Amino acid sequence: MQIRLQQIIPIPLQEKQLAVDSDIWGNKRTLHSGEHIKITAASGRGKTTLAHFLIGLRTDYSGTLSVQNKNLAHFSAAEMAIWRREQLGVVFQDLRLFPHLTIRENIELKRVLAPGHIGENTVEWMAEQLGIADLLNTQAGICSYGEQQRAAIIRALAQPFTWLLLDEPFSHLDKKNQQQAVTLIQSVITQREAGLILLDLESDNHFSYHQSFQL
Amino acid sequence: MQALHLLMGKILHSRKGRVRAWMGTLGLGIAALLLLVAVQMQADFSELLEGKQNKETNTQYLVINRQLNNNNLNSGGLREDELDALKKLPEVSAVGIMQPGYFKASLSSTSDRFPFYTDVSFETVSSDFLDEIPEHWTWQEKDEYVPIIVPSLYLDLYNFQFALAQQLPQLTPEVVKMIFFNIRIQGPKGELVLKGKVAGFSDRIQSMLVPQEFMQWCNARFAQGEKRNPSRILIKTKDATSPVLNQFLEKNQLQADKEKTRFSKYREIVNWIAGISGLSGLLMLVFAALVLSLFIQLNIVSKQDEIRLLIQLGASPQQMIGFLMKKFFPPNAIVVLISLGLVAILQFLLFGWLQKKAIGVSAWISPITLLAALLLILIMGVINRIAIGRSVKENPTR
Repeated sequence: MQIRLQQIIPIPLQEKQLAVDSDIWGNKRTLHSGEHIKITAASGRGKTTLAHFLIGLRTDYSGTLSVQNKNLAHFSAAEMAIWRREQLGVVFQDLRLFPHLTIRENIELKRVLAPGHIGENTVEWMAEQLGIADLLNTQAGICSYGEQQRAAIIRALAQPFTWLLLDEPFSHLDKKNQQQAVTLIQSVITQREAGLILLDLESDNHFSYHQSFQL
Repeated sequence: MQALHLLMGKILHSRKGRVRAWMGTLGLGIAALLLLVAVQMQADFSELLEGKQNKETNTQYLVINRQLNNNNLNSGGLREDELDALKKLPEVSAVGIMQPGYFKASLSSTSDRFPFYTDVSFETVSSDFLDEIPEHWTWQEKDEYVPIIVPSLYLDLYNFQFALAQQLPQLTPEVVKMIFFNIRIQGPKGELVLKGKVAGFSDRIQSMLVPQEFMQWCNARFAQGEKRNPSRILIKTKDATSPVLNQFLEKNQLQADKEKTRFSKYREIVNWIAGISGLSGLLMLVFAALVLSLFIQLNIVSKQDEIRLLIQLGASPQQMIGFLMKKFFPPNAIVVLISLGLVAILQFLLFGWLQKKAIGVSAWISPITLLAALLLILIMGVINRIAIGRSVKENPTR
């Protein structure tokens, strides 16, 4: 599933961004199926803004963002739901877990929104891989940010997707947990032949990237 | 789907507006009860009036004539237009003209042993309206005698008043039917004496009745003057208490047997009560629907952030609407069904109570009441769906 960015510029940042030399804003970029993309930018350059454009949460941009040659801004509510539920796995920068649900319920929600994709055992296995198996029945709101971030990663992997969008996914993780998360993500996207878009502050070697951009 | 709804239930669980929800639900319950009672009352009325069980006992015959006052004395009988309007009333199933004789008549004994003489007048009506049709209820000039139907009341008056006072023997109907007497007819065109005999008794019509053929022959031969309007008519009705019929009679200065029509006032009151019950139910339903719809919207607004996140995570509007309908609609449907159950219990109690009074209504609620309850559930479903659809749409999907 190809994503095409054509002269995308966020309207609120139009003047500010135009002055900056960006690989993405104002340029034409095509993200091919199965590619691993790294987008690096300092704080305030619009990483989360781009993530929200890709998720379809915001449309306040000029230019065109199309998925499989269809303008994302023109997706109906039902098409948008399918895009988010079945095509695009997301780890939000601000995690966006339901604090009064347990970690298991937060992950389960994604699994049952598009049922029949992975089993409960797989969720347990993923939780073990990231060291939060004993926290599955704990309310998300009382877990540490690091634990919540790992739960958010598993939640993103618990749904079907052709693209995995990660917005500063390891910001609350130490090196060991980062490595465990990278290993898990790598194994899942390899298995599913899915594409990866990682937005972060700095460059890294977590994955072997096909394209790297500066925002 | 069940697992998804379970999780959505946890996410969207809210205690806000609970009092309002209870008030709305209670209001809906009362409204449904009032409405269904009104529908069932009308169904019971219809059954009382038209049901097989009550049909025979309900068919009534009313003699109708002009209400006489100082302004309309000798002004003639019932006009054609009045008769036509009366025939068009749904309560009136048949109209019979009571044709009077426009000639003088008297009865006298044929025997000196039991002398009697009395002036009389005759009327005739189609035999369809008679409560008892005598064996030989017709007349031809060559016939030996003229059959006459007299009110049972006359025989009762004789047996239980006159005979006792005059020390005369009491007579059974069979004996009376054996007595021949003379009928003297006198008119401007001449006079005639014929033989007559009581052929039967009527509880329905308080008049001395002769066969229509005889009346036509006598009027043609002895009466004088132009064709006149009938002075009295007889109607067959399934509901003598019908307010519509009684209002028609009153408006046209007509009158009928007051004993039979006096329940019309009560009927009118019951109709009013049923109407008020139905109207109150309808008004309460509108308010209850409004309160419940506001409750749904309040509930959804209080959980706007959660709904927004669910949508961001990929829940479709249809999934959200499906879940919210499952959350809000069943209590409404259950309340209507409980109201229907209450109406069914009331109907069963009414059945028992009326049965003791030999009035037949069904022990079960009518299909129309059941249909009304289903319609009510459908309406609540539509209201819920609109309120939920609107609230979900108000949440941005982007």
